[in-house]
Amino acid sequence: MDIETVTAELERAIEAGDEEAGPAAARALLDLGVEPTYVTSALSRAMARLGRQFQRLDVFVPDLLVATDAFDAAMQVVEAALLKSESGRKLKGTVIVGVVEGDIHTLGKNLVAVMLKADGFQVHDLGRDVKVARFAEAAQEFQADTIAMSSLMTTTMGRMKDVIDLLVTQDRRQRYRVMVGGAPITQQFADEIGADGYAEDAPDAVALANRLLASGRAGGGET
Amino acid sequence: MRFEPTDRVPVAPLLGAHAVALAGIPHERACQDPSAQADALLLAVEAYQPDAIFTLMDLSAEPEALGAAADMRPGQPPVIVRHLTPQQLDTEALEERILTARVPVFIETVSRLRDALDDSILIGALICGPLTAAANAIGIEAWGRMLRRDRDLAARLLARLTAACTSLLQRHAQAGAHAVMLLEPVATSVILGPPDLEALLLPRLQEIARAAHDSGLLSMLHVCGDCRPSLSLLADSRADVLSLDAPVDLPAARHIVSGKTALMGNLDVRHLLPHDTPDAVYQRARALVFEMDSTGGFVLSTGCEIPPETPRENVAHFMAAAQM
Ligand code: B12
Repeated sequence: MDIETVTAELERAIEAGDEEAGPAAARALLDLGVEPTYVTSALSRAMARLGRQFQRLDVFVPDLLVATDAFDAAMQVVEAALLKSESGRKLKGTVIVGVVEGDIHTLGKNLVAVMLKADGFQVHDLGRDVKVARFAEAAQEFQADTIAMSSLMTTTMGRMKDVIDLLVTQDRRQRYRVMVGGAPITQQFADEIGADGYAEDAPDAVALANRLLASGRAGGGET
Repeated sequence: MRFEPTDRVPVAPLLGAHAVALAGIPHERACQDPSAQADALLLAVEAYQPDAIFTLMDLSAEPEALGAAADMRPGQPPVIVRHLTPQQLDTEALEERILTARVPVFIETVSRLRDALDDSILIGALICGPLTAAANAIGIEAWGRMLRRDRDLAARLLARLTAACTSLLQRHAQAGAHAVMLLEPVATSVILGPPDLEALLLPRLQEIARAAHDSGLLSMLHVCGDCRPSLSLLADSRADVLSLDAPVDLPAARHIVSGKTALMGNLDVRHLLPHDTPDAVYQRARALVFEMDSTGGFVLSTGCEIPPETPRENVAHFMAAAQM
């Protein structure tokens, strides 16, 4: 099979959430001699297309969940090759994402995480109900340059400010770009708590992460 | 609350969390103590004179009874900290199990409300719908994957939870509820698309509505978030009242449901109610009443439960909008 056909198969498998065909196609492409970054681009394209279909409600959360599994499985195949490859994939930076303490609404956070990953960010998912101190600690542990927090409730959104305040107290605020989002969050709230940015959905979150990266705003990472 | 002509629009906000805050009762206590919960709700009835009062919303009560682990947090809704496996939910025992843990707190609350209020206003029990109970018990990610990878199991679990919901609503009927409101936030359109709704959940919702009617209850269905794509299906749920969240345009929804169900809603509880001015709340509620009230079949309410931090003035202005 030629590269074009296998590439199409890879993208189809990701969009269909096929956990076997996805990594198999990724492996087949590498065997055909393409650069690993060629494969990651195809993966990004598939996920971005899926994101747009989701915005139009042509696909739904369960479709994204299985697509994420297929994406992760294919990425595992590529990551090994990326480490060895000369071109390497220049990661855009390291993001920790999590849902704030007291809040178990995970779906939005999951989407933001996978879309950032697909766009070339290194992502560490801290899960849900993440304690204020854990955000600060994990930022250090993973040498993150971006902290992305999700909150779906007016009763928990205050924890985002607590995280930022803690970073200020620890004199580490300037090291990170802080992104916030979730149903009750607004740009105004983001400004009030001193976050660097707010985005309404996952595609916008990716655009925001890239904008913050380009602006050179904070986020020097741990040194 | 059926389709009889009314001299003013019925008004029935979901007062639970706000009522508990108003009474100065810690949220976690109201989730565990029926007398505290009932006292808080009765205080809100006195303060606002609504046409209906519903139990406190707690989407973790049924999942916890089914076997998931929930953590109580000071001043906050409970947090599910450990889920079940789908296999643990795949048992006939759910009909009994759903009546355990903190679920009796809510049944007892209904009984206390009925003792105090009798038939003066409608008393509604909020219960987790089968989809939301299943998804919150095993984790929504596990649920979503199952929906795509093991549809038979997903369908079977929904059937089992439907039986469990039925057994629960019967207890609420015995305790004196006039209505049961099935809470199905997980049926919001981004999560459960219309094809899955129609194939898997709708028949179950219809079964539960029938069971509610058989128990002499008014049957209500609440779906949070944006469910515009699912409206025509939800209209076929056989619920007497469909309660919708702020993203849905109710006048437009009325055309779609075309008399199959009354509509209830839908003032925004994320920004407007908790954070805007009393006047803005009044204006928005008033506009909705004008748009909706001409033909009956409408209950003025909030898009979901009113958050605890909402100022009392805002709720009072919301209530005032129902007066002619
Ligand atoms: C599904 C749902 C649930 C599920 C969640 C399952 C799960 N594991 O995720 C269950 C049933 C468990 C649930 C429980 C509860 N829920 Co709920 N739930 C919802 C619902 C209907 C949809 C949320 C969702 O998943 N949307 C789909 C995803 C894809 O969208 P999203 O989360 O908005 O994320 C997008 C953007 O916001 C953004 N984004 C999200 N995070 C981030 C982060 C960053 C950094 C950026 C840039 C962007 C970003 O990008 C995402 C992708 O496009 C909403 C209604 C709504 N309109 O949001 C209520 C809602 C969030 N729930 C609400 C409530 C009150 C509760 C409960 C407290 C109810 C109760 N009393 O038990 C409990 C919570 C308990 C707890 N301790 O957390 C309220 C919150 C109201 C308020 N006061 O703020 C809402 C708004 C409903 C309402 N209208 O009132 N819920």
